[in-house]
Amino acid sequence: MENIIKTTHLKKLYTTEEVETTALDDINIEIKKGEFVAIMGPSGCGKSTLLNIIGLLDNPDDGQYHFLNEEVAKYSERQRSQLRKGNIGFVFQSFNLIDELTCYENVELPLLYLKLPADERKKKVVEVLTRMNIMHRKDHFPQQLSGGQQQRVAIARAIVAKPAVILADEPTGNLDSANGEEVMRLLEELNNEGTTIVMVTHSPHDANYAHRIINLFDGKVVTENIREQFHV
Amino acid sequence: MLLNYLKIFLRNLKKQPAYMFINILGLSVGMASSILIFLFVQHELSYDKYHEKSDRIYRVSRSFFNQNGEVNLYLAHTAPPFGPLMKSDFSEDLEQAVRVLNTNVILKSGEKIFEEEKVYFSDPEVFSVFSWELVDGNGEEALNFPDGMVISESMARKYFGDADPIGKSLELMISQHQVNLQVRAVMKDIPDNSHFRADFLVSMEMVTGYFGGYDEMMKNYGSNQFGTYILLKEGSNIKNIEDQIPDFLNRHIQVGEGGALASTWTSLHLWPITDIHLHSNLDSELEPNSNIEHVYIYTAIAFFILLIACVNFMNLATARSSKRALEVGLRKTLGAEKRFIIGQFMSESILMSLISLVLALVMTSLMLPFFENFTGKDLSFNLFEQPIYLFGLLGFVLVVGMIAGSYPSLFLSSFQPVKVLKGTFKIGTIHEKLRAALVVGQFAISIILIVAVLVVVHQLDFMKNKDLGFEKDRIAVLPAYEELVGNFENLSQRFLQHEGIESVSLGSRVPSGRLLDSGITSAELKDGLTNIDIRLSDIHVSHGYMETFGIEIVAGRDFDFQLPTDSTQAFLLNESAVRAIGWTSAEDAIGKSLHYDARRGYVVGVVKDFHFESLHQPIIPMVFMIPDTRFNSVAIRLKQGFEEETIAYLKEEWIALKPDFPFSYYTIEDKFQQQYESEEKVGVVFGFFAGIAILISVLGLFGLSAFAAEQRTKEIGVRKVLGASVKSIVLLLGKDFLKLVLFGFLLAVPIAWFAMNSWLESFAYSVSISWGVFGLAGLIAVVIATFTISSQSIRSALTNPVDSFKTN
Repeated sequence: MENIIKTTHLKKLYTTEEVETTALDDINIEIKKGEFVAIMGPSGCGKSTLLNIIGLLDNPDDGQYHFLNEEVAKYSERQRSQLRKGNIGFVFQSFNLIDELTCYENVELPLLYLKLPADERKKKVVEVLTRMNIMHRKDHFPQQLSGGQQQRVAIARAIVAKPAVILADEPTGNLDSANGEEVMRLLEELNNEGTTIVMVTHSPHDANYAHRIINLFDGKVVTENIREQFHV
Repeated sequence: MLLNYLKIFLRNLKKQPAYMFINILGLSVGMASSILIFLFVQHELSYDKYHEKSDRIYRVSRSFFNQNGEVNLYLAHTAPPFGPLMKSDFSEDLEQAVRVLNTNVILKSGEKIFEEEKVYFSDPEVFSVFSWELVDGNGEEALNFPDGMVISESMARKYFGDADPIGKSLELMISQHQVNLQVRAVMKDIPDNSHFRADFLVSMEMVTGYFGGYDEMMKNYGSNQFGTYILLKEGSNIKNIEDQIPDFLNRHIQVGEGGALASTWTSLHLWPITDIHLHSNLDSELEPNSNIEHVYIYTAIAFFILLIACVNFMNLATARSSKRALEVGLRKTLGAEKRFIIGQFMSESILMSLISLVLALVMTSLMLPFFENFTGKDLSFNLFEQPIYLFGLLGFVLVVGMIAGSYPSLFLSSFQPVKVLKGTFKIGTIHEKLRAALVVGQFAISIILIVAVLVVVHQLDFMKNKDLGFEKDRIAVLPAYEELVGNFENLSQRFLQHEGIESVSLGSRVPSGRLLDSGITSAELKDGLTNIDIRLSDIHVSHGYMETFGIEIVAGRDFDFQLPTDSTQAFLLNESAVRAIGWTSAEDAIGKSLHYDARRGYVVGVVKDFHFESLHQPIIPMVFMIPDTRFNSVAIRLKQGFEEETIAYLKEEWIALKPDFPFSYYTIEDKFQQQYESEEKVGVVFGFFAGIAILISVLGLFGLSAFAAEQRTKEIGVRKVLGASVKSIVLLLGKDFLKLVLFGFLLAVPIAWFAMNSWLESFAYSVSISWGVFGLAGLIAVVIATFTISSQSIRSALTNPVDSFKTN
């Protein structure tokens, strides 16, 4: 199957006045269309840095990155932004909904940047909110919802533009187990429908939903395992 | 998308009302002040532009030079022949030349009798030069009648009520003359943006008679009382006329004694009519004019106040940017490009500016009546009648919004989503430094304005209280009627019987007026009688003038009633005159021969220099003499404690003397005060707008310090747990801001010193700026700032540390 993400000798450095830290070192990974990949590893191993680069929020310092067969490692902020919208959906641990916007408006936001007409936006937002079973709270503000509901809104926002990839950064980290389970099931469902999912997690339980697990340590890929081998 | 921005804006407005309130209040107060100042400045700049031919109308003014070619007298008025002569000599370039002569007269219609100041004897052609709107009758025809008169609508109402004024007569009384005039036309009141505003235009015929007929009038080059205006032909160049003025003068003015050509001692100047109000402050003017400097000062104040308000917006928006950082990060993650984020924050600030404008318009309409009253000008504006204002204001909103939003939107749009979402986002020190610099700038402007207020007040105080060299208190001045002057000795004896009167005397001019008369002087120096080329201003006085005004005699003696020759040969000089003539001392001058115009005599006394004119003018050489004519005023020194009843007594006497005339008087002290009104107004305006500038700066400081305290809540909690006192915490939070105020002070001192020194230079006598003024201004700023900051920091310092942790 065709690669959607491919990194070659990817390197990321963080430099301060006194020290230079290697956050990612020689990362070579390939993620195919329709895959569900989990990235695991201890805190500070570079998981989130990798996810940011994959998500086109940041550029690597060295190496190549092909996204949808396009070399994007040297892309400008503007080019990355263009490529990001519509192609990548983000789900965060702390939901990151805009407090001043209602659920409906939060979900609508990516469509606004895609400049879709109002009626089409409405159709898509209603569809996705209904699917996430949160339509009845569409006019509520994020603080008026439970954590699980907020994360469902965040997922709705991530998928509303039907992106090729969803990047999830510890999506269940701030949720209780029941809500966490629900979110994972939703992600699995989306993956079954063909959406590629890359998820950073600390939880082996969540990682079990993935087809493949990439383990990072000190900025390097230490192992890549097919899910079944770790299945509990 | 715009709707999305609007929603976020309105929800933030609801969520952070205090922050929004500070921003909107600051901006709206700043805008309201700017609108008021704009209306005023626009009015000032509009003077005489309403004349259809304003670009072709010029006023002819006249200057006189001394031997060194320096101007020693510059009058806005000229002599009567110049108008008609220019019209005939420059007929190729001139379409018209007209004259007006302003004088105070008494007008009477039946029972109604008033003293009128705005009566102008005018050539009939004034109506083809100036665009004065007629309501009834033909103006030019009216003034062609020897008894013809044109009156303004409001004067028609004053004298004739609702009756038709056309054909009605008014009795005009001026010294011993009395004539009947007929109203033959009515004009609309002359707009208040005119450098002179006539209430009555009267045929020039009467003046011609006063001068002894047309031919005599055309020979008189010495009576420079005529406002003379020329209208250039379309397409002509004023330079053509200017170049010919020296020849023109030499051609018409006879070569006098000594044989000097007229152009070597006098000249004519042509002033565009639209320049008069703001640029012409000559030794004589039809009405007092304003000053372009005031327009600059007011414009600068408006600009700075608005700038302070914009800076507030920038500072508060960037200080609170961490609150918006997540939103920016997310928007970028979801595909927003930088320009979208800039657009969003720009639209927010333009919207804020629009809301502020609405509030500012409300404030403006509330303040306008007071401002109009204060400036004495009609500044009203109606947005719907004058759509240009509406467009102007919308442009204003855009500009203010874009200035205020420029820095915050560039700053906020530069946030990197990775850092924001990761939580490693920090506002860079460069931005913090820039914000600090803006606060320094704000306080520098405020402190400059405080210094300006203090210096203006100090200078005004100095002018009002400076020892003028004579006793200005309790002197009432009344008009000197023929009946009184002719019988002065008897009448003054009678007045002196009254217990409230200390002394009485007559004068051609009295202190507080201008010194514009002068004559040809020669004086006895080492080489005998020598022509003296200085302007020696003469005052014609009666005996007792020095006593009435308490003018000190430093050498020789006062005029003596017992010596009849004093009335024909004696001169008194002031010390400046002695020096200017070239005598070594006051004593040296005594007994020396002096010729002044036709009078041949000698110096009997020298008076100490005193301020005859306001402190805007330096003391100039003066000569006093006793003639038997040209008395215009009676000066009466009142006894302390008897002022009111003595004025009542004088009123009775004056009415008995001149039954049909209104009684009016002024005091020397009041007249001096009036001359400082313009400075007093500048002082009040400075005070008012300095107050506003400080208010806006304080609002900003309040917002910033509240925010800083909020940011440091956890730190304060930790410090308190570790044993910090309330005082040390207040100091901790306050000192950073106070440092900025102090930097502002250091920046303000040289600028304020330079600016106010330049202002003081316009006075002949002024205070010097003391360090105390800067000290006081700095202290005011520090006290206000301390009060503002401490209200916030004390609250934070008193918070229970446990709560501080909870909030984090």
